[in-house]
Amino acid sequence: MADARLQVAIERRFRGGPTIRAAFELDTASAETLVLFGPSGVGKTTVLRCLAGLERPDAGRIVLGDEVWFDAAAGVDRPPQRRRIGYLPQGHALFPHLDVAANIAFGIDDVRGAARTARVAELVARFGLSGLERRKPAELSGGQRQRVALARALARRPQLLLLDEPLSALDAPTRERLRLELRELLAAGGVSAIVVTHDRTEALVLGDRVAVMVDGVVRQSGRTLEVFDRPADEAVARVTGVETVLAGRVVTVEDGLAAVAVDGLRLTAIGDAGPGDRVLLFIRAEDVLLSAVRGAAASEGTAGFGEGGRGSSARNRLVGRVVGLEPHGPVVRVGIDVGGVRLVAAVTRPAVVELGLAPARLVEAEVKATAIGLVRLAAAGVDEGGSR
Amino acid sequence: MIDWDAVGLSVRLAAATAAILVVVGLPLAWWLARTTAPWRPFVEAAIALPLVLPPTVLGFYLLLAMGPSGPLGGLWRALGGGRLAFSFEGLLVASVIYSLPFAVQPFAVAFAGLERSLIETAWTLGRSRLATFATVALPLARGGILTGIVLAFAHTLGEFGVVLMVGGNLPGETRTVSIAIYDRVQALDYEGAAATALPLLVVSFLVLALTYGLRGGVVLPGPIGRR
Repeated sequence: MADARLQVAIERRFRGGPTIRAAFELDTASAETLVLFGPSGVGKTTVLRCLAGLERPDAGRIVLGDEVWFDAAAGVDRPPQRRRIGYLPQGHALFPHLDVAANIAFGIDDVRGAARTARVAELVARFGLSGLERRKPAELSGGQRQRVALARALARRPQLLLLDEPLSALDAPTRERLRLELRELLAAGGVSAIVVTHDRTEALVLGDRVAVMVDGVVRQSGRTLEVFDRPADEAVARVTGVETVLAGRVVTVEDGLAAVAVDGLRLTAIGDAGPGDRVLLFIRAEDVLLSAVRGAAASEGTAGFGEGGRGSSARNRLVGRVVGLEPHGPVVRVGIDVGGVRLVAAVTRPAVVELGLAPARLVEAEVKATAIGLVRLAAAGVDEGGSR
Repeated sequence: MIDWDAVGLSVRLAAATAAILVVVGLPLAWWLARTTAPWRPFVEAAIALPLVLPPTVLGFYLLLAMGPSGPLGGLWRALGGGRLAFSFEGLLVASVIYSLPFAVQPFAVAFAGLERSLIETAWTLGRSRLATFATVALPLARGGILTGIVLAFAHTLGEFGVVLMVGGNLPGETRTVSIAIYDRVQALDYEGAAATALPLLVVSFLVLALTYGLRGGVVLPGPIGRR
């Protein structure tokens, strides 16, 4: 397949309701995962259903490589049967009357007989479902069901996976565990996926790329960290909810406090992770406290670990340079460069004046360990060679 | 003494009616359960009419329609059939119409209770609409389908008013169990009536009990795909 670019530009209108507009691209040859992210009810599921061929857009085009899936102007609307996709609706829709093996085999239509059985066996083994072949979906755990659903979708050798809120039906502890598992399965599947979610952590963990939907419109799309780190506008920032997202690796864990290396910096955060784990840290601008740099002791790019000096409970004290000031009403978003890492703080206008904040000015930023969100991306030793 | 002729005729009639209702009723119920067409309530009302109409009224109109100059009678004659009214075939047509809601409603309820995402997922997995119906919808709705078949069968077994109007009382042709029993009672032969009535009561009860027993262990119409 020379060109495997998915190009989506569609519009779906609802009488008396909002108009949903989505335009984004995804190179399916990259086997990357694109997260369609936004608050509930914003139209993400509609976009996914249009991609699956289960709903018809009112205008626009959907093209994958040289296949035209939908073209309103030309009257083309390829039925779901002929899009060769793996679609996982909310709740996964496993067939309750069929056992695991029959569920997985359901969509295989390119081979029959022994080859078909062999492919099912291969998927059963790959997805850790051995011994469960004769079980019905009702007799499986949440994690097993997720694996069966993915195996069933992949059995068809799809060009693209479409997942609608894959983890929403699970309780919180299970969700956390399966989030990582899903990430690994998607990476191992070797197929591009589009995942719909309203959960920020899910978006960060699962998405190589993210398309942010606000009020029915895809407002920004790009690499996940870039989008979360640099929202294009206020609306996107409100939806993503975090101003700073940093990728790092856990160095040590002591008393539940994880020391995380982020580029040259070390940050302390609380979270369930072990040494060597790859993690994401996110920090809300409201949680970053700024103060004037004291004396010459602190130099640019140093990170304090609460040692000595002025008493403070904050575990993270970073000295950086102001790189930007963005006023939003009474609040000013201050961009700070700490040894190459960009941090955003939200402070009031009077505080800006008091501290004399201006571009290139040195400033000390404090963040409590408890204010840093930590999400595990991969366990120690697992390196996916991904783009992060 | 049991009127075996009448029993045999009733069973044949009920079985044939149930079979036709499976063929006609399943697609109709599938359409009803999924359509958003504006005329849907009218179709539903037409199907449900036998539930509220006195059987004699229904029978009267069917008799008119099946007469030599009626639309059904004319069509039957054009297709090479003989007289439709007062024949087994005519009785069969009347029974199908009379029992239609008893089959279609449980079918439709079962189909409507299917999770839509199961059907759609089957489509995305490459199954045609017809194959999806056969491999996903039918097995999952089997409880409701079984109920519909049994109800249609039992209802046909017990019909009286419509049979009286369009069938009359021809032994071996249109004389069903209920007509036979009515006949005996008219002749003040209570013993003969009881001999035929009691097995009907017992069989009907057992068939229903068996159905509900099976259904309990299988899948109920309703939110079927619930995990």
